[in-house]
Parts: sequence; structure tokens; C-alpha cells
Amino acid sequence: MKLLFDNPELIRNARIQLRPGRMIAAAVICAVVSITVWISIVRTGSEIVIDGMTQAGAVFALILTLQIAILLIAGGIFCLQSVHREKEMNTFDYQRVTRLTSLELAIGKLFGAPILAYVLVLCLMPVALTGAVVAKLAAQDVIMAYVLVLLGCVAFHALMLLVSVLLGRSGIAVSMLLFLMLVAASSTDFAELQSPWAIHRLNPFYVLDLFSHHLFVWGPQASISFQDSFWGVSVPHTAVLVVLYATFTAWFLAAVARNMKRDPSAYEILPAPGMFLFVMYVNFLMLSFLSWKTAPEGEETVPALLVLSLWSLWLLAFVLLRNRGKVRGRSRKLLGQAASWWAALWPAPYLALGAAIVGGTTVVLTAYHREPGSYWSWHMAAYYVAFLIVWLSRDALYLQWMALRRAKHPLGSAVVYLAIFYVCTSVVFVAFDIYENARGAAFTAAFIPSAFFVLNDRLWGPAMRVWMMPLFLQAAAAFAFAWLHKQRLAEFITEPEGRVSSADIAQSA
Amino acid sequence: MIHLDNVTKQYDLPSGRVGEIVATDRLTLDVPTGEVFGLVGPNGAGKTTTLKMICGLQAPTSGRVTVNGLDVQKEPERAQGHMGYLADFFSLYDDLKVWEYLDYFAHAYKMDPAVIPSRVDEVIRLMNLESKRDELISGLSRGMKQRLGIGRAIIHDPPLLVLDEPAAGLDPKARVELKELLKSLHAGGKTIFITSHILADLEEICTSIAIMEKGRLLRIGKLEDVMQEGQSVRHFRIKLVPEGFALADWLATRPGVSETFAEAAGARFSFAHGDAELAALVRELVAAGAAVCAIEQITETLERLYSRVSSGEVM
Repeated sequence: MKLLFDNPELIRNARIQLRPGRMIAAAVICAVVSITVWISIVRTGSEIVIDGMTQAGAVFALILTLQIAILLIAGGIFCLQSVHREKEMNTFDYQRVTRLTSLELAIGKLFGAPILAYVLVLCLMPVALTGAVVAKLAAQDVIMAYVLVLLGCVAFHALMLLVSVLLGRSGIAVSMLLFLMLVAASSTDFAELQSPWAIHRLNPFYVLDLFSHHLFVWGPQASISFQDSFWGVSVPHTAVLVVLYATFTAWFLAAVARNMKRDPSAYEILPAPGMFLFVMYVNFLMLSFLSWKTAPEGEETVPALLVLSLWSLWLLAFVLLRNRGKVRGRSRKLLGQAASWWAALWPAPYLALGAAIVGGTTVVLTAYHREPGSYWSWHMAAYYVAFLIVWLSRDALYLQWMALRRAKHPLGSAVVYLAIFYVCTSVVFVAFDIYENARGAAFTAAFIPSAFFVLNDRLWGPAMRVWMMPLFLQAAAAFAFAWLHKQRLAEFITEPEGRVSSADIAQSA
Repeated sequence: MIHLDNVTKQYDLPSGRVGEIVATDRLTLDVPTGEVFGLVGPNGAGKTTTLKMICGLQAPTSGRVTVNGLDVQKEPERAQGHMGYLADFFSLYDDLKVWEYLDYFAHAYKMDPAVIPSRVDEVIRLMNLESKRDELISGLSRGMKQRLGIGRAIIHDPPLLVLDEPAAGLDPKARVELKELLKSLHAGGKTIFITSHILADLEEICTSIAIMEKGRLLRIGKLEDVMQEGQSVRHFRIKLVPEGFALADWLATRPGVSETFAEAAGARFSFAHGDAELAALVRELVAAGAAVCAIEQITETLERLYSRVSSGEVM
């Protein structure tokens, strides 16, 4: 509690944001909103509400929606701006040289940056609670709703704070847009959409569903218990959300605390094992809430599920990639070992292990849940996993090698080259209609991940051995990129060429 | 107090240019307790990077930085408790009041809460900001803001102050006040590590000095020792009534004279002998028909020393 209530950073934010003038303005605005909502719904009557009790419930729902929007969206934007703004104002370094620990700074900003949003929510509380009481809503439901809103918003705020720490001096507008897209995406009710997952809405707006499916059709007994399917077992969505919010907040806060006082040139979201565990946790959740009834059927299940996991494995790959600064520091410490074969394989071992765990679990689960009589081949399933491992390793090693070039955006341009390669080869393969036969399809898999999309029992059966060729070719390419990576690492150990001093730069500028 | 051991900071060139910046190149230096240590160098010499590594704001590519025996990389918070830092730009929270600003940093440095109010008032008094105590920082003048910045740096009474261009952008009056303030802090036992482009100010307050260029130290030592370097000869300037006497050429042929430079109405030169020989030289000059109207000894200033060291005149 001392971390929260005796936190200088939190107090500083409160002093700046909660000056009497602002507090009065916030209170007046909230009062006007409250009165307007109350009068417009209760006093004047609304066509879509039926009786007084329902009208009061509608007031509660509308105010609750406003409160969530303010806390989630405005609070998230405040968090996104918090560290970024400090960097722009050049005040961040002064915080970093104090004796405040990274965690104290993180907590201070997490609850301090959106403190005005919290005050606005509190100012709207009287009318919301009045509505809840008049509507005779169950107290425990109302309390649970607010607890969920608080926990959910904190989780989103922690993510935005992490983005704020990692952002340079630009990118705030794009981050805001992505944040709004994330809020919109997390509003999706996967369970009702016939998606592969049996889980309801993930953001705090879900609490509105707790009371009713529709905002203005209301009743004291309308509280619904939403259930998710966790490994096939029905669990309350509320409990799931509490666990998800708590665990993701912990992950994000750990990443914020790790980087808050770090040299910006050495930012690293999480250490490699930590990031690996995070990605495994995300995949565990994706598999846990998978609905096998709505999952893709037959032999398509394994590749379809692996493709769903891809984004998290790519996230792992991108976070693990080392830039020139990291390699330079490492090579100074390790000297000869910095250019060993083991170093040259970075970050492939983590990716291979991650892909093997995710793929292996997917294969076993698919075999267990498959429809009796449907086509199933352990060989083909294992092939998908092996293909995933080799393909991810090849591209990650290519990106790692390219990221160490001396260029303005070495990693960005490497990604662009990779995308161009995929697009061009795909166009050529489609133009020559090469996917149609087993040998042709296998040939394409040596270049692009076509195996996930074209391989089926028709193409697998007659040419099982042919499909080994792309595996070996991809592995050979991965080895070639590891060798190139090793050569580049060796350059860091020897005295670099073309080295200039900062004075030369200042003069030429 | 400060020890840098073979510290290198290297990073890539900005704007996509090929090459690497070596901001500091195997830098080794010691700053004993109680010194006012001035770091001098052109823009891009690596001064700010050095300061930031001392404060733990940047990690060295290799090497080790210790403050008061604490490794800044391994124990940043403990080391940072021993130092106060002022950057080369104005950066305060304009929406806070003066006392709130100092109170925030006093808590951030984890001072005993019981002594914070009195310490805040003491620093406000020391910084001569009593009349502005309850005013928002946005209403302060530039000089006041700089004083408040220094107040923030000393709020936790650290033994070491690290100041990056503290006089930049200040008017002459504020600069004089700043100098006096730094002198009084030094007299109070603080070790001060300071960079500045205003070399005359540094010469006045520093006890030790280092000249840095291209990430390397060209000179380091006690101010008087550094200033004394290359002083086995004295420098003089002779002015003549303009009448066409080739003074520089004449001087170049005299014993003990070197580095002669012709000037508009005379010349300057270095002289390796004593006062008696100088008197004889002047007598000879007058006898040779030169209309001598003035002779003055050119005293070495930090500014001159810096330009000579920097240009390679003194190796």
C-alpha cells in the first residue's frame, strides 16, 4: 500500500492534475452530465424503456458506459502520454536519477497519469449508484462490475504505459490509433461469433453484458452469468477476466519496471526467458479457450491453429532480435564467444523451442478432439510442426543478420525485403499454377510457408518424401543465414572500420 | 568520488550514415572528493555522454563507472543517492509550485519525511526564491528556473553535483549569481563535476580541469598544473609606433626568442630567458631604431590554453 499511497510520483501527478480549478470544472461537468442523463431518461421518459425501474437501470447503464469509456480510453491515452511527454519535456532523466525504484515510478505513473479520469468516474458515481439502487440491482453485481472495470482498465493502462516507455519521440498518434483498435477488437464477443474461441468480451465494457444484453432493456433480475469454456469446462467469465486482467497487468508492469530506468538504447521488453514464458502463456490461453466444436475441421485443424499462434511467435522473434548496440556491448564482454556458432543461431533456439511446444500441444489436442473417422496422419501433423520450426528459424535468422547492417532502419528494411520476397514468389507460383500437383506444391514450400495453406491428404499421401525437400532447403537457408550472422558478429570483435567521433558529426552537422 | 575506468560509449551514426560514433574512447579519469572538476570540449566531444554515464542515464558500451565506490550500473539507485544532476536544458514541471517541485524530489530521493519541509525551505532560501515559494514554476524567469534546477539537484544534500552547461542561456547577472552559488556549494564541501562553454567562468571556479575532444582526454589535472603546461617560455607582445620596422623578422634572429607572429603594429613572441635578458632585448630593439611604445606579457587563460591544445599547437 505504501507503494501506492506514499508514492511521490503519484502525488506529483495528483498535484498537477487535481488543482482546485480543474476539480471544480470536473465536478460541474459531471453534475451537468448526470442531471441531463437523469432528466432525459427518467423525467421525460424514453420510448425504449418501459417503467420507472427500467428507466433507472438505463441511467445506471448509460453512466456506467460513460465511466468505462472515460477510465479506459481517456485513462489509456493519459498513460500512453505519461512517459512519452516526460521524454519530450526532458524531465524524464531527472526522474531516472532519483532513488525511486523502477517499480515505484511505474506504479506512480500507472495510477497517477489517469488520476483525472478516476476523479471523473468518482464524480459520476452518485448518479450511477442512485440509478442502481432505484433499479434494485443486486449490490454484489454492482460491486463486481466496478471491480472488473477497475482491474480491466488497470491492465489496459499498464499496456499503454509500456508502450509509452518504449516509444521514441514519435509514434504517439499511431499508438493511440492502435490502442483504440485494440479496445474495439477486445469488445468482440468470441463466444457468440462462432469463432474458434469460447470466450466472451475481454475489455471492461463486458460488465454491461453482466446486467443485460441490451443497454436499455433492463430489469433487476436480468443479471446473466456468462460462461467460458476452459479446456472444455464451463467457468464464469467474470472469474476468467479477473485472472486475465491480473496476470496481464503483472506481465506489463514487469516489462515497464524493467525498462523504466534503463538506457533507452538498451530497451528490452522482457529478458529472453521472460518473453518466452509470456508467449507460452498467451498460447496456453489461446488453446485453453479453444472451442473444438467451431475449430476448423479435419486435416485443416493443425495448420489453422498454428497460423493462429503465429503472431505470438513472431512477437517473440522480434523482441529477441538484437540490435547493433546490444551486440556491441555483448561482444565487448564476451570477446571470442560473441561470435561463436551458438551466438550465431540467436534467436532460433527460443523460437524453435516455442514452436515445438505450441505445435506439439496443438497436434496432441487435435488428435484427441478430432471427429471419429476423419482423416488423420501423425506424420503430416508432425510435418506441420517441423515446418513451422524451420520456417520461423530461417526468417528469424535472416532478420537477425540483416538487423546488424549499418543502415538507417536495418530491421525495417529487412522486413520490407522479406515481404517483397513473399509477394513476388507467390505471384510467380500462382502464375505458373504450380500448387496443383504434389511436387510443385512441395517446391513452393521451400520458399514460402505454403505448406500451411496447400498441404492436404491428397498432396501428402503420394509425395510424402518429396515434402521433405523443402524442410531440408529451409534448414539449409537457415544455416546459411546463421553463418552470415556469425561473420557479422565477428566484425564487432575486431576494431570497427569507418569509426568516427561525435565531434566529427557535430562539425559536419 | 568519481572514477571512470576505461569507459567507451559507442553507437551508430544517426540519419542512416555509415559509421559509428565513439562518444567516449577508453576514458579513464578520477575526480577526488572536494574538487570542482571542469570538463571542456567542443560540441560533440563526448562531455554530455560522460556526464550521463556518471549519472547512470546511459550505459557504457564497455568499462566501469563508480561514484563514491558504488558501481553506477550495478547499484544505480544507491549511487544516484550520492549525486545531484542538472542537464543542459531547462526542464521543470511548469504546473507545480516551487515548493511542490522541491518536495517531490525530496521524497523521490527518499529523504526522511520529517526533515523535508525544513529542507525545502532551506533550499528555497539558499536559491534566493523565498518570494516565489508558492508560485507556479511557469511564472519564473530563466535565471530563477536555473536556480531552482540547482536547488533540485542539492535538495537531498548529495556530496556530488553533476552539472551540464549550467550557465547556458543565462544573462550576465544570473551567471554571476550562479558562479557565487557554485563557489558557496564548493565551500560547503560539495564535489562538483561541471561542463561549460564559458571557459572564463570555469577558470574562476574549477580546481581541476580536463580538456576533451573526439571522446578522448587531451589534458587533465589541477587547473594551475594544466595552465602551467608549456609555460617554460613566456609570451610577450611589443607594440611600435607604426613606421615600417620589421619587428617579427628582427625578433626571430634574437637568442631565446621563438614563435614570433607579426601583428598590425608590432609582434608577439615567446621568450625563454629571464627578465635581465628581456631588458637587454628591449634595449637592443630601441637601439636598432624601433619606436617601442608598449611591451606586455601575455598571461595564459583557459580559453587560450584550450584553443592551443585543441589546435595542436601544444601537444
